Amino acid sequence: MRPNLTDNPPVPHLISQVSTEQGLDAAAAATRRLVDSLLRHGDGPDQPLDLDKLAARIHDLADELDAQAPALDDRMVAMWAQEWTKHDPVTGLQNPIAPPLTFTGHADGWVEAVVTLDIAYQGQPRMAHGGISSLMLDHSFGVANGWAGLSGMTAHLELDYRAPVPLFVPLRVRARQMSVEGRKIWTEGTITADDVVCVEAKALFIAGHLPRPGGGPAPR
Amino acid sequence: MGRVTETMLTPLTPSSGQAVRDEAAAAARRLVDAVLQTGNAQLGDLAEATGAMDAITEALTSGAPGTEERLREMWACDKPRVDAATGVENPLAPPLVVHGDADGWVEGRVTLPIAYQGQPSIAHGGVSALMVDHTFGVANNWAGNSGSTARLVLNYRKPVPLFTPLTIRAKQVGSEGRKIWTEGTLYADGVACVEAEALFVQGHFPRPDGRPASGAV
Repeated sequence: MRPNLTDNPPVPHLISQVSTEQGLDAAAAATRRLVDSLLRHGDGPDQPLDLDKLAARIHDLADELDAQAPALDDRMVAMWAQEWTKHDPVTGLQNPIAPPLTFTGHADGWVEAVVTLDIAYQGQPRMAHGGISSLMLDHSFGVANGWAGLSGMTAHLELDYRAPVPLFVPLRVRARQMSVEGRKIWTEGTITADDVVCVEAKALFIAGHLPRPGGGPAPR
Repeated sequence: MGRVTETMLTPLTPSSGQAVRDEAAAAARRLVDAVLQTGNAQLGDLAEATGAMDAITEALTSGAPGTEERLREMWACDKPRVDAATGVENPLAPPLVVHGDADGWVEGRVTLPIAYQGQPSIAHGGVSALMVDHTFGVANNWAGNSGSTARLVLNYRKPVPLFTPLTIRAKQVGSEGRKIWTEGTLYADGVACVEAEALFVQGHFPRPDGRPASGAV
């Protein structure tokens, strides 16, 4: 949540949530580790696991969870019930697809996250998929708009890929809201690796959000 | 533009490979979805499931090859099967399935579950960008001249719904020297939701096994 910057000492201010290390946060983290270990499991005959049996065990686990799952509509109401949600595919602690990114907000309007991507996010050999960069930047723009106090939905997104984005090294994802005119919001950002700018992007957002299931609180 | 008919389709995304790897990835994809669908209702059972997952991870990790060796393995086939969009061996890929037709168009098909959500019941804008960027790469491959994304521009016209069959149509529209231009649209129920264009620069990164780079991604 954005503090009143005039009344507060210089930030960084943690925007993303901290894992509770239990419940769904822990289950999602375990799923993330399982996905990574599955991709890293070798093709050679010396591998310890019979993948047939392994697939059956994972299906069993999914079956057990599915049996406990509420109806989709109820689950949607629950996942949108708090102002700060935990299920998005970029920062969502409860979404195994999210790396996840942790953002801090700064007094100069920038938000920033540092993330190291593993094999699951690969496009070309050893490089992050170009679309993963766009996913992280688009999301960082939404976070930057929230930090600035007015956010909305992406209407236009343009990305310039200057250098490949490597896997396995810390990446810095930065974004800030540039300007607002009526409902139009302009936002910009970069991904850097070792201080080299790999991707530059800017976007136009239109202020406003779709209604939340169950009438949950709208973000600012 | 003509619609792709089934008889004209050529599959461009990996379809054959190690069936057991595909099945394990499909199971893990189900697990991702099940974790998100279950929610925090059953804390005790989730702890049990978490423990079971970590046991599987531990078994998978023991004896796994090092990163370099594994990268060489996964890039040894002609159509790599691990990318974040179409990779059937990658539980994070939905996976997108792409076909090509005789007119140079390619068509990607995908239905996105809850893990790809941005706004309520709507796909994350960045996920649309990921699907479009990848389909563009396949379109360039299909045209015989592919490379890496240099510039990608997307216009979001309508929200992209989850749980609904999506179609992404793309085509290489021109090339000049090493520059390649590609265009495409993401549709839901025949409605154009995202329109995009991109500039690619010809060429690929070398494969970890030292073989010449190809336009396989």
